[in-house]
Amino acid sequence: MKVSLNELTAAVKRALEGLGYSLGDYEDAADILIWMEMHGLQGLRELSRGLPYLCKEECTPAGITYEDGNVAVVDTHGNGGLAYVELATGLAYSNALKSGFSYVRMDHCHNRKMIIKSMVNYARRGMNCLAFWRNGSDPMVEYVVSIAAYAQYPDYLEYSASQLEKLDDKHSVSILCSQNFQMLQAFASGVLSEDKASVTTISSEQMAANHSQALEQGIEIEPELWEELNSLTERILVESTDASRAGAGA
Amino acid sequence: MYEERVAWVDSGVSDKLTLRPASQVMNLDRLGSFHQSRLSFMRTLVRRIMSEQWDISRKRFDLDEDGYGTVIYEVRTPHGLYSFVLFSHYLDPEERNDRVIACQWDLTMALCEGAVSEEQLEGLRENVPKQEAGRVDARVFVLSRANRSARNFDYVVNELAAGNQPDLKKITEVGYLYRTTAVYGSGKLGMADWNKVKGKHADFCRPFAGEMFTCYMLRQFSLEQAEHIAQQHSPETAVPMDDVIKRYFGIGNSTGLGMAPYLINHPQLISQWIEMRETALARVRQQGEVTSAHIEHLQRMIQKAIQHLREITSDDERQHHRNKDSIVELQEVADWIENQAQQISSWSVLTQHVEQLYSLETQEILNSLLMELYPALVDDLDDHMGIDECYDLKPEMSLAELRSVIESRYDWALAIDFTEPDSQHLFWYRSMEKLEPRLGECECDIGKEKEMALAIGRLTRECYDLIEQCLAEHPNTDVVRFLLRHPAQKGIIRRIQAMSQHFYGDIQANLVDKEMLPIHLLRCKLSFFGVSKFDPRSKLWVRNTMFQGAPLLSDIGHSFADDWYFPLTPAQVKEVGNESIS
Repeated sequence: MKVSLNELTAAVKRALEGLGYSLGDYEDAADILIWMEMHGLQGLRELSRGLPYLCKEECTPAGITYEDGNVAVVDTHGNGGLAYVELATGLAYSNALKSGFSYVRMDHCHNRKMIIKSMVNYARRGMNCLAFWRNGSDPMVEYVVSIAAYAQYPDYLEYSASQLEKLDDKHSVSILCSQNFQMLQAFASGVLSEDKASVTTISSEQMAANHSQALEQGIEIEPELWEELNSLTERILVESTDASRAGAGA
Repeated sequence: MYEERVAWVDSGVSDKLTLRPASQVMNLDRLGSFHQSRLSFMRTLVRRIMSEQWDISRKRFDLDEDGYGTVIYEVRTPHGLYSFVLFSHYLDPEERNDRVIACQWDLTMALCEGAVSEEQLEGLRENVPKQEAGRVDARVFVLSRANRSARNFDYVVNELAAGNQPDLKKITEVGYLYRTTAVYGSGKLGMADWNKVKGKHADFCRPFAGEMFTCYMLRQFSLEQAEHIAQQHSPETAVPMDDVIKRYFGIGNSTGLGMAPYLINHPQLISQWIEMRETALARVRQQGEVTSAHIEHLQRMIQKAIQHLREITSDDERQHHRNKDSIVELQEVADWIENQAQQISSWSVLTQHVEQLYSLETQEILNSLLMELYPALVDDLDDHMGIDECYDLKPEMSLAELRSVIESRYDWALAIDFTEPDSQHLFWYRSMEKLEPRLGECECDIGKEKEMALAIGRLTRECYDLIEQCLAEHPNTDVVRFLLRHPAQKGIIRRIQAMSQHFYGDIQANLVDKEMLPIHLLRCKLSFFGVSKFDPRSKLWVRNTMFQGAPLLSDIGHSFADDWYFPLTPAQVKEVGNESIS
């Protein structure tokens, strides 16, 4: 079924609110997921995959586990993407404003792809950003996203690399911010794999075209996911009574 | 009293304007006293229709003798072609209900881009009458419904059928044939998103322009339908309605709490509307040349406003007294102007006098009238009523600076004592019935744990207290590190940071206080829509009239004075006279 961006955003916000997410988190998450979906980055698939694991009550708040100058590690304890990508990128941005360059690693972070929209937000404010993470095992897939200051869209690269070693099992994502884009590119070429297979890219032009189409025609969503979102919404609704109807002004 | 600042919009004359301060304007009682102005959306829409001479014609008018069937109007503008589609249905009077929870209506409507094919029409016929229970596609950008006025509709039809014009006294009491009970846009129910409309359809790129146009067309249809039924029932005797009387018909509107969360959830937009209105007022006060012609014009407008207030019927005691007081006060203002005409060197002299002596209602009526004097100082601002809202977090801001921002821009919130039970008496929530926003009392209603995050004052206070604690331990920390410790504060901090960049900022009121009047929120937004004749039915909902006095479609192409504000019973028009000034 087709839905508009606005009603999908509202439905995701309500569903995440129903799951116990706070105002800033459900606003961010909805904004990010819908932006991803309308630009061809499969935000709804991220949401669909993530929903079964989203249970706020069991999550431990994130914390900075290491910090030294412009390098920091944030442990998000499993609730990263939906709640903490904006803050982790914000930390990298904040540190880079002070020292020109920063590196932040988020550990134990699900839905890492959501970092992309946060990078777009900070690029809009004049920061160059790069993020990368690895996933899977055979083959391992590496994801690299970069965006230059004031660019509207990022460069997205996804590839498998048989020779890649699994860096760790911490579900990490690394974010780099710099006031110099060449510095980020140089850094990336030093740490990322040169052995790229099954390369997938999404160009700026594709993202712009996806955006235009979504705006013109709306977004396709699986009816089951739509139902699930509406079902989660019920958690924030209050039963209607004769007394409550009076509270609406009849 | 006024704060000097550079106006947001380049006036091309002098940008150094002194706007009224946020502490004065963002007060909820004052916002609840606003009236329509030249910048109200109905006014700007009608100006555009008239100046661009929109070509609006019936493409289809398939109504049976009782007025039921399908109607399509085609709308040709300088920028595009649109279709306004209506379905008129029989509705058992027992089923007629103005609440959002209703499921059936006399009329349902859709505003669509382009021409409507037969195939599309079938899809609309299947879904539009269902409203919230249906789905439309992104070719539709406004969806609405309306109910017949039980007091007026049959009466007017019967009079026309008998060869008579309707009694103006009855129209003065109820100035419409239909009441619209909801007007949806902005992507609801599968419709086009606002960003699409804004980017693709220049005719409707201003806030709520599509929604207002839908109501304007509903008014047109209501008049045509009444004439049609009268003609069908009594072809021998039926007469068309006089155009003068037609212009005096508007569209009724009932607005409840559903509108209130919008104001709180779009603070930058609301701040922008208010800033433009205040900029217009500041230009008039500071740049408007005061001549005897302007004074005479203002005097005529004051008399018109007085007569308009006299003609309002409201059972609400509070509103009745407000109107009554304003009638007396406006006459005193008129007398003062008469005596002081030579001393009024600028309109600031008058506004300061009125602020010192008279009610908020009178002050804001006068402010609206002053803006009418100088279209050239006001009307260009109507292109600046929209804004792309952006609530960026500033993670790098020091926490101490954030504390200072709260202390300076949210001093009103810090001044509220939230330990007082009355200050947390209410809570806002969404009902299972169509997600309708409702207001509960903490002491006796269920659902407090599902409260909507609309109590901005209290959220600010809670955040401020946490900041104080954090700064005691980490005096040099910044916002992002504070948020990693207190992630739940992200929403309110982002709002505070963003709104502190706007001159007017947030509405300065405790929205969960026992004495808070939600109707002020509704009235504020409705004044920007441009409605008249506020008739509160309780502190939670208000009836009003849209487009009363506005030109008809048949007036397009003829001279247009743009003086249809504060509409009067037609017989009174001759006595008070035309308000235009050359």
